[in-house]
Amino acid sequence: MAARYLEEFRVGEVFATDPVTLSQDDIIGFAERYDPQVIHTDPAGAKASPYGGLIASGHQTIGTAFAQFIRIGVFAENSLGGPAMDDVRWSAPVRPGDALATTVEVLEIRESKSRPDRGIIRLQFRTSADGREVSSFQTTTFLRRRPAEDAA
Amino acid sequence: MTGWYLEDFEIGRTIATDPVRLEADEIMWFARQYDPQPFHTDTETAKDTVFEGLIASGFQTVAAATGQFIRTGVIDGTGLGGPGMENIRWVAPVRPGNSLLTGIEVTEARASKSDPSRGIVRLAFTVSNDAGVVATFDTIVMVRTRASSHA
Repeated sequence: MAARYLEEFRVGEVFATDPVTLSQDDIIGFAERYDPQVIHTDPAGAKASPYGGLIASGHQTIGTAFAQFIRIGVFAENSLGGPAMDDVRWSAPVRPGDALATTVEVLEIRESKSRPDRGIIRLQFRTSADGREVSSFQTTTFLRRRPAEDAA
Repeated sequence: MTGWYLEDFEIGRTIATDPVRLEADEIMWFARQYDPQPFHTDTETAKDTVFEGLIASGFQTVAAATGQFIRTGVIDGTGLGGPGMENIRWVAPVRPGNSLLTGIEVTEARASKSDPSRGIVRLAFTVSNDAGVVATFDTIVMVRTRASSHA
């Protein structure tokens, strides 16, 4: 999809990302650097844990979901960075080969009072594997408004 | 070392971590997979963005701080997974070569009502570079109680 300005989003609009899977190597490679716990880095040790096998770091799950949304292309060069994320929930384990599908709903759109070139958009992410929700989170992003010279 | 049990997480107790440095290659590697935006994925294209140069994904800053927390050993053998994070705020950009230091404070610790062998702990993370705070967030982790270790 083409990049959109703030005005081109609608509250309640939902985007669906392409599904993506994490391999065992992806999970271990990420976790060795960013979340080095046995359940994320050691298949044998993970088998003996309450999880019964290797699971992805929750940080990798949310990053994967966010990347799939960025790849849709609606933010592209109009994103001016994100000041916040809220209510991150990891509700079920993600295992190697799980097909992760994410929906992204527009929760709020607000113009900036101090910076007329931009506004704030809040999004609700929900990621599922085989129909079961595995994580959810909300992001806040600064997004460009349509430049004045483009106004119809 | 065995990590802390629920009873060891006293409100106000702090945990110090070792610093971690994010270099340009690692910033771009992370972003291409987890946050592919122009100010995170390429040193050259980042110059033409509002940040006027490469900055780390906020997801990477939070994850790097988490990795340093895990390496302290505080939840080795006592951690039972994390149900979530709250109030993540990215207040200043992280640039290549920045050394990130994370301070952690226990802000809440309570026994589980449904399972007496575990409890829930809330930890407030503050991540800083040489110029000041770059990110803050709360992590929620489940940990074993000391009583459960003697069961």
